[in-house]
Amino acid sequence: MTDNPYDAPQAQPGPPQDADAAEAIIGEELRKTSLGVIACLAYLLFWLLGSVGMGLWLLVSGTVPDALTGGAANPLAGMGRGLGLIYLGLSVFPMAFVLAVWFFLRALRRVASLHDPGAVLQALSWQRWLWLIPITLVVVTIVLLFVFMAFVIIMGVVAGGAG
Amino acid sequence: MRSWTQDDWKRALTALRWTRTAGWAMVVIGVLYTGMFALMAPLMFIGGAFEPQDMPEMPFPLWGLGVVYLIFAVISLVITVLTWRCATITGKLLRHPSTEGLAHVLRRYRQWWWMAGVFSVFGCLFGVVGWIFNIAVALQ
Repeated sequence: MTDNPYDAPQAQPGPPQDADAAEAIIGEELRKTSLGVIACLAYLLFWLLGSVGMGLWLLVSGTVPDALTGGAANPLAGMGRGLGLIYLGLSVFPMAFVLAVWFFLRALRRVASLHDPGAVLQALSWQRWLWLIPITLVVVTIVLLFVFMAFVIIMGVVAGGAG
Repeated sequence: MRSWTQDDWKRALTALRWTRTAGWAMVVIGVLYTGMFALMAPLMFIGGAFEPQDMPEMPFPLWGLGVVYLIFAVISLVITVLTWRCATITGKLLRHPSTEGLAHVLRRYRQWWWMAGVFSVFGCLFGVVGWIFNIAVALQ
């Protein structure tokens, strides 16, 4: 059987006899989803606040405190401004995710109030993008990890050459 | 309330197809995260048992971090299993679309969001503790 039901004449989609009851359940399920989504929104706001706060702090202070990086062996001491800019730049991600979750919540509210398939479709569409968030995060983390490792290796080579 | 049209179904199934693909990718990520937390927890327990005196600035014993990692591992495992169930059930709906099936899938997604909410709340608590710790160390 093909994955696309519209290519398969034996699997034509359509509402069953008790479609009204099922549609009412669909609306109810989406409405109940709001609580979990609000908790996720709180976490994303926390992340955004931490990222912007840390970025601004590093940018203004211009240095990374020894206490946060291990005292005498602080390799980041003079890089506060650069790190601050990186933090602020990476704040784009939590900001985008907060907006996406916000729109998802708005779509969920419309589902509860309108009882319209159009509102359900809107919610499903936003949910699709939200499920892509962890994938984006992991890709970004892996890329950053590689950049950081390359940085450490280069610094090690430079230090070795100078020694 | 207007009824579902064929065009509505096409759009819904397209969105769900993307969600299913993201879901399978998230299963892989979930396995990696669960493995990482499950590995870190015993390491913290061992580290906490043998070398707590090496980190005098820590406001709590290192095994406490092991407990936190263990909780994260359990939550990650539950979310991963839920994601796997969401992906498989969405696949079934894509093969046999129906309004009851969609309601069933959305119930699973709701459970997933609620569990993600639990993870978020716990993450927030852990983050606040981390901030307090960092500020306390910086002020010393």
